[in-house]
Amino acid sequence: MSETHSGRAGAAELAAAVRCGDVTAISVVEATLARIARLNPRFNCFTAVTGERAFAEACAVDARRAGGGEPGPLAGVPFAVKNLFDLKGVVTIAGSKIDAERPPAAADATIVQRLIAAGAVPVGALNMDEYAYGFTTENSHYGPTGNPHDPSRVAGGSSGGSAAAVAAGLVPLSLGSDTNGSIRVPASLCGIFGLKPTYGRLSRAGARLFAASFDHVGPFARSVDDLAVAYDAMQGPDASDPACAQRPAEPAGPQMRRGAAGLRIAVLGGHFAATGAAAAAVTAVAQAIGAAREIEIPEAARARAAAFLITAAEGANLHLADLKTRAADFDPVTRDRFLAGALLPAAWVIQAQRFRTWYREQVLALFRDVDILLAPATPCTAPLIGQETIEIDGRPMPVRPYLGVYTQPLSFIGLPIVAAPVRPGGGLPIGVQIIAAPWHEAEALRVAATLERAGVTDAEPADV
Amino acid sequence: MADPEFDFEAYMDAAAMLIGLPIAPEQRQGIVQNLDWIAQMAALVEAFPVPDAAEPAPVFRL
Repeated sequence: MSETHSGRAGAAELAAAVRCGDVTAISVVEATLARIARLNPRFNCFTAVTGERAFAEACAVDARRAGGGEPGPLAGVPFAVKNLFDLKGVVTIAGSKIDAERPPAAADATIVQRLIAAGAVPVGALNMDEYAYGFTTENSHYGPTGNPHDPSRVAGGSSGGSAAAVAAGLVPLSLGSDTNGSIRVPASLCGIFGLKPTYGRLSRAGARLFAASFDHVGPFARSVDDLAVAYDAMQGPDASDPACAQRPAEPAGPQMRRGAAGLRIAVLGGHFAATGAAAAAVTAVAQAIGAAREIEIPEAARARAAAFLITAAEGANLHLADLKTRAADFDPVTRDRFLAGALLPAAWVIQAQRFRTWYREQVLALFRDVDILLAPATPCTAPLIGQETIEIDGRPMPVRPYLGVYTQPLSFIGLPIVAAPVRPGGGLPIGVQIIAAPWHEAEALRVAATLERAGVTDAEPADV
Repeated sequence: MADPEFDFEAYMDAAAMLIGLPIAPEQRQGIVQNLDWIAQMAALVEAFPVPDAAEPAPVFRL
């Protein structure tokens, strides 16, 4: 089997091979679908495989190239999407039984359209926590997704299928969403790169929302270059998403060679001070990049609490009609959380939104003196599927909500973040958040690329 | 939530009735646990003196 057909090739490498005619997009799709058929039963990443569509799109890419046309920066690159993104002709289930009754999507989500326009080829939809309300992808309707580094462990969530599919080498590129950590947590536990851009940077049109005032979408990949190519292909305003910023695209790709020189980098302390593998990962990254300074974000624990309140209330409101008429059809894991969220006093939620304004001002002020902040992405490596508690500093903590302890205070105010994978001591992977000021995704990507070149990160596909 | 004796079950029943949300017996315990947890989160947020000038985020724009 050639390297481009082995599942180890990255998106940029595959696109280069397709663009210069070394391989055809069709042959890449054939190898990808065969690999999915062989390995997906072990990890349960895919809830739908769009083989026919993939062949049609790959044919179009090959025809474009043969005709002398521009096949695009992602020519022939297979990708898959969290099953809350619309894929034309596929039912967007959002991890639920209820939405499985909906008609197939009439069109692709905006960022899916943009990847296809760049030459990428959609091969299917990926497992997630129901309606994105979870950090583990232990979905009662469709089964848990296994971690490619150890299938008895969770992949993280809610975009668990998206991270696991990339970590297992089923696809080089996938899409997920992140409300409180749902890109960064699974990227951390599966040992790959994930990008949660600034709130409003990428269009969410055609994605099933969860808590609209926090919902972000973004890519997963095994290299920073791949992340940047995909991110650049998806940028730009979109009138179909009211939260999508009216900003022109600001391509990160051309900035990637600048390295981290000139960037002021600090480690987050206080709420973000970790132990064990999480601490080791941050230390390794900080040492490699020369970040000696430590600073604190004020009131980060309160920010996490406020994010909980708003998420519960917005998520419950979105699903209230179904909660009233068919609560028994929800996943038992998410059902009672949604029902409780429907009952919150307005004063709590509005106070949380006002706190959010104050907190945003404090954090933005920090960025006058620093460009990049480092923090762990998760407090631990992947827990076992079904594990209820984890011991932190000698105390048992409920594992599912605790996985978001370091991600929630940051998505709360929409900061752009790259999750970069580290393997402390060669053990299970764990991620470090590389956090930039709003609209400075390129700086976070530059730092991630510098760490990648220095060999500090490790996003090798799992040995499957 | 300042009162550790707060009756979450009674609150759940009253609030659910107000918004027309039926609660099945098997959902009661989970909802109460979640309300208790969220109330602890709310207590953290409420204890912080947010300035009057801080408007709720996000601000609605036209």
